[in-house]
Amino acid sequence: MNPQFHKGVIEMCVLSLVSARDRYGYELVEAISTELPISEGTIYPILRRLTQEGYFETYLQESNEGPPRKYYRMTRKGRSFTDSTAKEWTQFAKSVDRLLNQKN
Amino acid sequence: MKQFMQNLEQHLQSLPEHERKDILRDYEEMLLDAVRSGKSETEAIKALGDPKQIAKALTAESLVAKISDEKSPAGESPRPIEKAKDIGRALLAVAALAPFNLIFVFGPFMATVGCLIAGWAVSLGLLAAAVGVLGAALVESVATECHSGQASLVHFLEAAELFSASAASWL
Repeated sequence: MNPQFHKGVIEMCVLSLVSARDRYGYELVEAISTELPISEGTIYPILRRLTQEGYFETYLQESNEGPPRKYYRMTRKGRSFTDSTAKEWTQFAKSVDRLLNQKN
Repeated sequence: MKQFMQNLEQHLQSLPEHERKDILRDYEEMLLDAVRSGKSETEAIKALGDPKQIAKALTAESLVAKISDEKSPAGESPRPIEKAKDIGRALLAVAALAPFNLIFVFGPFMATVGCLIAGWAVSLGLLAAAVGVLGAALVESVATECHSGQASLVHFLEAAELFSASAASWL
């Protein structure tokens, strides 16, 4: 897949997963990599940028397995961004689908 | 793993300490989680990528974000010279990134810088206009002596208004 295109799609997946519930970094890597070919190195800069943009807030939470983990929680701003991006994506995917299925 | 963390830290030197610590903390968490999920340390490090490239990309994004933040209405905005310095630093960091991410970081960056420069140009223009009108008003009032004092007063007020508008946009 085109790497820049890939990046936009991963960003949307991250937004969607965090909008469902708070997540920590590696959890997102695992969830996305079941469907798409990504590595840890892709996710972290995206998380940082989305946090800087004000779409996520973070907090540290103790874990049973080791040092505390940083969790990402969606802000109101992030939610409205996610909703509009998801709508755009659905529209876009439908259009591409129609074009790909045009037989004549 | 220690080696990776040290390398990353070394390449993040240009960032403020709190930001650097935050990034290092996050990468350490990712590495520990990857190892806990069954990866070897070598695999986990490889999946994160080259520490030098990571550091360059994060540094550039942080500097670009800093410029964008300074445009926000909240808080006191810094003096133009400070802003120009920040832009210079960000430009260097972004240039160091090339060819990596050229469009995605550089595009929004140039848009931000473009807006700033346009803003400065507008305020300079206003300043020049104010000086011009002020001059005209003075010349006029001298030429007509006290006769048309009212008209030149109007011009004078116009000039003062422009002047304060341009001062406001500078600050």
